[in-house]
Amino acid sequence: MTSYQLNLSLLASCIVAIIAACTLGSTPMEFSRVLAALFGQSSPADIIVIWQIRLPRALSALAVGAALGMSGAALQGLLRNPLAEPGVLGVTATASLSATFALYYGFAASSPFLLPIYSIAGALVATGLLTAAAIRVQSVVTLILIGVGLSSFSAAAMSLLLNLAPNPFSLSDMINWLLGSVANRSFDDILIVMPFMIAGFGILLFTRRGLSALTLGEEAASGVGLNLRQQRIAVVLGAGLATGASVALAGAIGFIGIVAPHIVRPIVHYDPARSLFPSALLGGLILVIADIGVRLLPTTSELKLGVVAAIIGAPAFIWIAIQRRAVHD
Amino acid sequence: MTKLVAHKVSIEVAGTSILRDATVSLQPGELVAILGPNGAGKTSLLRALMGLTKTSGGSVELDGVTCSEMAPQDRARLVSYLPQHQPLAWPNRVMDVVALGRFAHGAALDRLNPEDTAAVMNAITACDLNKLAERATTTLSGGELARVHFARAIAAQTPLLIADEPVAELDPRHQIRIANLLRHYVDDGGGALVVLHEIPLAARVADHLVWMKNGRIFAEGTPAETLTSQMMEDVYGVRAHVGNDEHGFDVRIEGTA
Repeated sequence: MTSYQLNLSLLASCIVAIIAACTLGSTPMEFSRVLAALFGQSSPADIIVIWQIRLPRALSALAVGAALGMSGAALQGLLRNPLAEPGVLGVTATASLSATFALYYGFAASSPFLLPIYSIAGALVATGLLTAAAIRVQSVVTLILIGVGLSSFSAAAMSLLLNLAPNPFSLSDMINWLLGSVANRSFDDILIVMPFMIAGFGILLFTRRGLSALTLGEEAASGVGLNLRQQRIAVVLGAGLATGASVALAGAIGFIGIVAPHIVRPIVHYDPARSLFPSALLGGLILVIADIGVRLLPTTSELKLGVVAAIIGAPAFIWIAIQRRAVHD
Repeated sequence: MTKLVAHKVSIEVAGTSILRDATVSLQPGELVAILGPNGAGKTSLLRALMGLTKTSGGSVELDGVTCSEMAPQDRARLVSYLPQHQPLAWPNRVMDVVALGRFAHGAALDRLNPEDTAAVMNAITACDLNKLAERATTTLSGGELARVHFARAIAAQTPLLIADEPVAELDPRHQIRIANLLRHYVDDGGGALVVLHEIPLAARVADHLVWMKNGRIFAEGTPAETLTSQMMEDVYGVRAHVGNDEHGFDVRIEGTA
């Protein structure tokens, strides 16, 4: 399968999954009703269900999955390791801490743009720290340990905020950020983070040639004409923007950035550049499907999407780590 | 004609001098081999020539422009660089790795223009990789992988080539194959500067030998002029018998000096 065919089939699957997300739910709607509602040719109740509940929710899942998938693929290319990912490296945790902080002190209330800006700033601090470390040490184990440190610190600071939460309402708000969810997202929520996310995607796609060159190792990559410094800054900035925007939209959702590129990579002959776009599409697809699962499960209170992602993703992470030990290093 | 000139280059790392007043030049049509014991400063000299390391004195100029100030992409169109072998990050396809040699020409692996494709195919054929082109690099032997890296360097079609121990850890047959590829590259109008540890091989293939010791260039000249028992003792600290007949040079190491 060529990259083109792969992208096309993933795109088609995403569209099917989003339509499925609109038809399935507590009150199932058949396809024709969904279609009618999408074009405003239906009862007002149907139009509200589709345009204000199901479609923005599915699109949020798609955007978040895409941002995490592409950030994961790009960070893996930069650090030349399949275990690099915004969640594992502590980027999502730092971003959601920063966002929670903004919520807690009420900064987020003054402008709708402040929440994404806070979570992006958190993501950039984490990615910047990791890259500064990556310049000095070659070992990716060190980077993952720094990620563990960042995650632990963010979790502790988050617990502190939870302990001090002024009322149960803000407590449940913060838990939403911690666990990750796309429930009750509106088109306005999506539109606010979109500029940041699109900028992140653009920067990451711009770095793709350099990611291919980094396959050779940093020394040889600079030998073939890569400007290493620029490349590092661009990947960090792009991944920070995309991950930060996704956290602003859905809170901390982990492991998508590992699972999606891992599946895509063999199909694109392990070229990091070719894996960016399909990883984004597959990441989006996985989250849309996982979110349908979350909504359909007959549990009393709805499962959080981030919990489901981690239940699928964490074992996959362990499996990839074990495989890698067997083959490389 | 492209010319790379290092004039009195020095490098210091944390107060320790690792290269002092090294002067070398490289131009098309010559194959220069750098010889010397471990820690003589050979790799540091190559990195200085590529503008990849900070120098504490002297100058490196490529066609009259200071090398470290050139845009990496501009420099890479004139000089290709084979550092000591590093494992590839991913099990990429052989043809993709060779195509990375076209990076400085603006090629992306998905979008090779006809010129890039021709250069890649030529390099693959020259290095006898046609049968391996679709294989994953992880399935190759060390000798095959060395040919892939060499193909990557010549796919860049640069007038100059710098290689750091391109035959390290290869069996004798593969050493000779890589040495012949180097010779072909130079005979076709390229200029190559190569670090080698295999002294008879260097003497057979190179036009000019640069002997390094303790961060300095100790001596230089043609193999016939400089490859002597005395030089082996002075530079490597070994007692060696050096023979030279119509079959080439023969170096027999007898013990430490």
